[in-house]
Amino acid sequence: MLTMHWRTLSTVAALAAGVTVFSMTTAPEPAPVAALEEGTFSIDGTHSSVVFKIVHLGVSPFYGRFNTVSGEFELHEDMAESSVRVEIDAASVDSNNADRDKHIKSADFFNVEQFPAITFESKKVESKAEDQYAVTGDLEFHGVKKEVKIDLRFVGSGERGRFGYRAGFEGRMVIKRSDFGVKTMLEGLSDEVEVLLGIEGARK
Amino acid sequence: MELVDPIAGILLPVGVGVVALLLGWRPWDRTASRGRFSALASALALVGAYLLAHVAYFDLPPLPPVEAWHQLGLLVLVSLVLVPLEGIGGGVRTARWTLKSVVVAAFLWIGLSPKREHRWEGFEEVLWLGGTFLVWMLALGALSDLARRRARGLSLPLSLLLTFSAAAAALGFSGSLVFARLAGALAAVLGVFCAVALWRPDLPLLERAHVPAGIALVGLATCGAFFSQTPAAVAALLAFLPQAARFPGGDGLRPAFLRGTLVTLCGGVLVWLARGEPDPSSQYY
Repeated sequence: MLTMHWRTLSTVAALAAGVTVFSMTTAPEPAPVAALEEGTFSIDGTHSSVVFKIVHLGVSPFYGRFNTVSGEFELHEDMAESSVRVEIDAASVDSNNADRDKHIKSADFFNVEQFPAITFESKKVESKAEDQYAVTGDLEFHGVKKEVKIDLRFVGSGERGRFGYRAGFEGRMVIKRSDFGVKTMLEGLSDEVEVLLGIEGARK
Repeated sequence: MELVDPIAGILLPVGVGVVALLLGWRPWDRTASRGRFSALASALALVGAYLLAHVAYFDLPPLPPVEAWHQLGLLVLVSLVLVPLEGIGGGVRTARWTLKSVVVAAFLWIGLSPKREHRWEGFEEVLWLGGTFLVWMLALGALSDLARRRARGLSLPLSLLLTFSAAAAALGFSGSLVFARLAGALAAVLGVFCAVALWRPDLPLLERAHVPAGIALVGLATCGAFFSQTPAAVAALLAFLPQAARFPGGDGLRPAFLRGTLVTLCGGVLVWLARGEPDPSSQYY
């Protein structure tokens, strides 16, 4: 019984070691992260994300997203000359609840019939650290245009087969929705909204 | 519920209603002469309640107002101009209706501009704008006529109170807390009208002052239909809900309560229709 047990254990150990060695030798190499290259990129809405976080009843973070994102960005060797324009379809808001989505789209919140698009247009790009930037620009949301700052991090770029040359960033900004005239249910939903961006562009 | 709800939705409208009606109508004084000043006081009670609730709930709207429901606040304020002209015949009647038509057409043209620019195309635009304008003018005309027929007694204030209560529920259940709260504030001030009507049923409290109430009612229903999920048919029927007060009978309490019951029943059906079929699994409302 004991002999059989040891046999089983040694077999499993040998298999595990084999699998580990196999996986170490055959795992695909991560694509090389190239330095930023100049160019004009159109935002790939299918591979870009705009997620927002709002605190519900002061107890929990709630995440929602927008499903339709478009726009373009220009990259220059001198990043200060770079620019980005993002357009979000306000009606594409998705909070994982159809009834709530209807409410968010109504005049209580986004009023998507009146303000169908949410746009961001950069005015200034500053380098903060390696691959990290502060992008200042105008956010137009709910008919109000205000200057905001996005903390942006370069994630990667390079030739990606059939996808062509790609470059991508992730960003984060915090806004107060009341600054944009969205003041409904401030007692239950936080005024502060964190917006997380995952932007992938295809070089034109 | 935050403290802002009872203050903005009940205390402020009731407060402004009490002050305006007592000063404007002096119900304790049976010898006082009353005319256009009193009518204007009634209208000020309605307009004041609406605007105070608007500001208390949502702060001052941006100037110039961009959203249709902000513009509606301006329209309700402008409606004060029409109050002294109410009930005058001849050339003034024509001028009054021309002015009403122009003001309503301007509101619809500007307020519904997002629909014109982004949604409606060609004939669809003409159909929606024309149809909505027609509903507005018919509803306001019918309310003017009703206000003349039911100038005295509890019937009109009670019917309007119940109408705005039904509108608040219908608008709230069909997606807009904003419009529901504004309708609720008007229901609250109309409670003061009912109290004064019970005290002095001989005073024509809303004979001329119905104009701001009518504009607010049709305006909120329009906003619900175009900027929320209120079904268009429900919104149109809400505009005509006070007409249930045409139910025959005198100016006494019994016919007033019968009319009120009719408004409540019709309003209940509209609320039920406005609620639609919410997804039971969503647990949102």
